Amino acid sequence: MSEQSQVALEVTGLAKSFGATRALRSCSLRLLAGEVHALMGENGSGKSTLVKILTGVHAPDSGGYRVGGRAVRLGGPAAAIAAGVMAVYQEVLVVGPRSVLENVWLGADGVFRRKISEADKRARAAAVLGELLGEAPDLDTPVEQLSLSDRQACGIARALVREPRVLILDEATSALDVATRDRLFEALARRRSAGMAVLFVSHRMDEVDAISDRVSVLRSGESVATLEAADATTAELVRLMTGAEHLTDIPEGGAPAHRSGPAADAPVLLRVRGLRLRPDADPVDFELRAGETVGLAGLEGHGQDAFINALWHGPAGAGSVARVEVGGETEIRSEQRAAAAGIGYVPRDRRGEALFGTLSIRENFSAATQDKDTRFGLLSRASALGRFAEYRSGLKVRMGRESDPITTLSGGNQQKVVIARWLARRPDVLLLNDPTRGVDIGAKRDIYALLDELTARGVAVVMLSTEVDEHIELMDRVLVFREGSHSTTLDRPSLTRQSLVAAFFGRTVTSSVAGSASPDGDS
Amino acid sequence: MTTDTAVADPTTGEGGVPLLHTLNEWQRRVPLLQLLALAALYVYGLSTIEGFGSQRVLYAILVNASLLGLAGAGQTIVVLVGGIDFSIAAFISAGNVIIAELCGTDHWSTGAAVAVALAVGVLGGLVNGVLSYRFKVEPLIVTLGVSALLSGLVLKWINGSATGVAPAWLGTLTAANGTTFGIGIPPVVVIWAVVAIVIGLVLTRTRAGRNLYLTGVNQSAARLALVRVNRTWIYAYVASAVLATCVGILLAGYSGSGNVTIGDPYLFQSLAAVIVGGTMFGGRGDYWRTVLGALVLSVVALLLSANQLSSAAQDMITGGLILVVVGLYGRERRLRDRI
Repeated sequence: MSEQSQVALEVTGLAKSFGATRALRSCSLRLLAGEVHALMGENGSGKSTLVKILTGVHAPDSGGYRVGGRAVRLGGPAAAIAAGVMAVYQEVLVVGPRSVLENVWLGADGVFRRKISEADKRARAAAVLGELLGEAPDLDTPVEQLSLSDRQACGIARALVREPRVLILDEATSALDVATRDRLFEALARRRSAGMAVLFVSHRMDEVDAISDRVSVLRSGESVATLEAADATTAELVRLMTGAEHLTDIPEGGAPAHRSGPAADAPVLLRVRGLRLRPDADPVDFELRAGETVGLAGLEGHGQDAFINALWHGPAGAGSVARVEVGGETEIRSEQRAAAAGIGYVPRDRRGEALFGTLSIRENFSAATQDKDTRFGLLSRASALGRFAEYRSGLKVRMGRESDPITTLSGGNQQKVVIARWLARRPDVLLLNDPTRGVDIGAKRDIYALLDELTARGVAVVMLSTEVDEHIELMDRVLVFREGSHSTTLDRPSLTRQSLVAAFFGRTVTSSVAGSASPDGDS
Repeated sequence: MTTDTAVADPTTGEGGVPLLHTLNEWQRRVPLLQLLALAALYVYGLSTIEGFGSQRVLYAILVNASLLGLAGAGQTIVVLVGGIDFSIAAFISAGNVIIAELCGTDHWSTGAAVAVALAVGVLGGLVNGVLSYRFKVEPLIVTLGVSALLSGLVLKWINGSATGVAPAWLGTLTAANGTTFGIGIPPVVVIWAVVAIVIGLVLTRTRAGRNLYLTGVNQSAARLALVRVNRTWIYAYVASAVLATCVGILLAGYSGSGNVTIGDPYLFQSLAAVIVGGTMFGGRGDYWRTVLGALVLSVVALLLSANQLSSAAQDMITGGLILVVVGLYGRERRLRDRI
C-alpha cells in the first residue's frame, strides 16, 4: 500500500466567497482511510461551506479535492456521491409519508429502472438499521411514524447502505438519542477498520473525544491546525478556534466608551420564568433591566433564536414572558401584545421578514406606526416624512429620495430603515435578531452608536449575534445557549473570546488573561 | 433571489442603455405603455371604422368598460394582497339572478333584494378568505370551488332556468343613452368614476389600503410589523365578492332579465383587465391601472366586433396582450433584482 492510496480525502486550498463575504479563505485537509476526523470551529468559520463544497452543493472559487487519489469532477451532488462522498446533516431529511425502505434507498433508482433488487435492498436496509437501532423497524412503515431519533437513523442508514469512501456527519448526531448515538459510534468503528473515512463535524466535545482519531480546526474560513486526539485538549482547541489574530471587522480599541452597564437600581422591564425552548430542555429564567445590553449567543440552532422569538411572540411551550411595568405585569402572548407593551423586534431575515421590497423607503419606515400618520382617516405623507427625518439623520441613512424603492439602498441602510421603523414606536425594550448580518462596517458602527444612545436613555436591548466580537465589545452580559437551554451567563469581567467560545461548546476556561484580554479600555 | 447580498454594481444590469432605464423608471410610476396602447387603439378605430368617434360608440365603450372595470376592482384588491379570485363570475351571475328573481318573480322590494344579494356576497367572500387564509388552501382552488358551489346553489334555487325580469330603473343605469341628474352621461360610468376615486383613495391614502400592500409584498414582514394580516386578507376577498355581486345587479339592468351565465365572460376578463393594466401579484400596481386595462380591453372588443371578428379572435388578442404585459413586467422585475 502506497502512502497515496491511504488518503481517502485530500482538500487543497479551497476558497469560496458569497458576494462580499469570504466564507472559506483557504482550507486544506487530509483524511486518511480508516480514521474518524473531527472538524471544529465556531459560527461562520466555514464548516458548512466546506461540507457543501465536498458534497457538490457549491462549486469552490479556487482549490479542489481528491477522493481516493482521484480529483473529483465538480458536477453537483450526483458527482460527489458517485465519487463516494455521502453526507448526513443536522436537519432530519426524510420524506415523511414514504416508507422506511424507500427513505433508506432514496435516489438509488433511475426514473424507470431499478438498479438494485428489492430483496437486496430490504436485506441491506434491515442490516444497517439493525446496527443503528438494535432492531430494525418494519421497513414498510411510513417514516413519519418513527421518532425523530429513528428518522435521523434512517437518514444515516441512507448514507451507510451505499458504503461510501468518505462519510460526512455534519452535526448529524444532535437529533439522535444517546443509545442510538452509541450504536452509531460502534458502527463507525467497524467501518473504520474496513477503510471508511469519517469527517465528523460536531459541537460536542465529549463526542469528539469519544470517537475521533484526529481533530482539525477551522477559523475564519482557514484550516489552522490538525491535532492528534490526544493533544486536543479543550484549552488548546478553544485557543485555536478563537485565535489571537482573529480576523474582525471591529478594530482593536474600537469599543464604545460607556460600558458602565445599567445602574444597580435600574427597574426590571422583562421577566422570563420557566421558559422551555424544547420540551426536553431545562427551563430558562431571565430578567432584563432598563439600560442593559444583553447578548444572546451560542452555536447556530441551540435555542437563542427560539428565545428571542419567545420574547416577542410569547412562549411556544411552557413558561411565561412578562413585561414588568409600574402598574404590574403584562403577559406576552402575541406580537401585538408585545408591541403594545413597548417591545420592538427587528427580525433576523431582512429580506424575508422585514423588507417590503417593492415599496418606498417612506412606506417601509412607517409600516408599524401608521396610526401616527393618520389624519381624519387618511394617511399623511408629510407626517411620515417629518417623523422619518429625525431617524434619517440620527442613523445616518444614506439614500436618495424617500419615494425611492427600499431596494435602492445598500444592505446596511436598509437595516437602518428597519430599525428606525421600530424606534419610531419608542420601545422600552428593543429585541434585535442578528441585526448586523450582511451589513457593512460603516453601518455597523452607526448601529452600535445608536445602541449606546438608546441604553443611555434607559432602553433595554436584547441582541442575538452570531459574531463573537460583537458580544465582547457591546454587551453588558451574554447569555450562552446550548442544547435548547440557557447554559451560562458571562458578565463583563469574564467576557472574553476564549470564555465565550468555550461556553459555546459547553466548557469553561479558567483564563488567566481574562482581565487583560477584555477590551474594556475607557481611553 | 437566492443571493442574500444585494451589492450595488453599476457595471452589470442595463446601465448601458440610459434611455431604456429612464423609460423603465417612468413605467414603474405611470402606466405609459398602457396609455400609449389605448391611444393607438382608439386612433386605429377612428381611422378604419366609420362613426367610431361618435358619442354613441364612445358611451358603448365606456359602459362596457365600467362593468368590466367594476368587476376588475375586486380582482385588483385580491391580486394586490397576493391572492386571486376565480369566483367573481359566479358572484356576478348570483347577484344578477337574485335581483331578477326576487324583484321580477317574487315581487320583493328592490332594497330587500339588493340586501339579500349583498349578504350572499359578504358570506361567499368570507368563505373564500377564511378557507384560503386559515387553512392555507391555494386561493385558486378555493375560489373555483366556491364558484362551482355558488353556481350550483343558484341553479337549484331557480330550478334550472331564470325567469325573472330586472326592475326597469336598473336598466336606465346601464343604458348607453342614459343620463345622470340630467347630464348626458350613462349613470354606470359615473358610478364607475366614483368607485374608482374611492378605491384609489382607499388604496393609497388609508391604513386599510397600505395594509393591503404590506401584506401583498411580504406577508411575514407585515405580520411582524403588526399588520393584522388575517383580517386584511379576508376583507380583500369580501370586498371582491361584494363588488362582483354589485356588477351582477347592474348587469341585470343591462340585459333586462336574470341569466345564470351572464358572469361567465368575466371569469377571465376581470383578471385580464388587472394584468393588462400592469398590476402584478403581491403589492405592485393600483386601481388606476385596472381602469386603463378595462378601457383597453373594451376598445379592443369594440374594434373586433366592428370588424365582425369572432369572440375567438377576441380571446386570442386578450391572451396575447396578457402575455406581452407579463413578459415586459417579468423583464423589469429581473432588472430590478439586478440593480
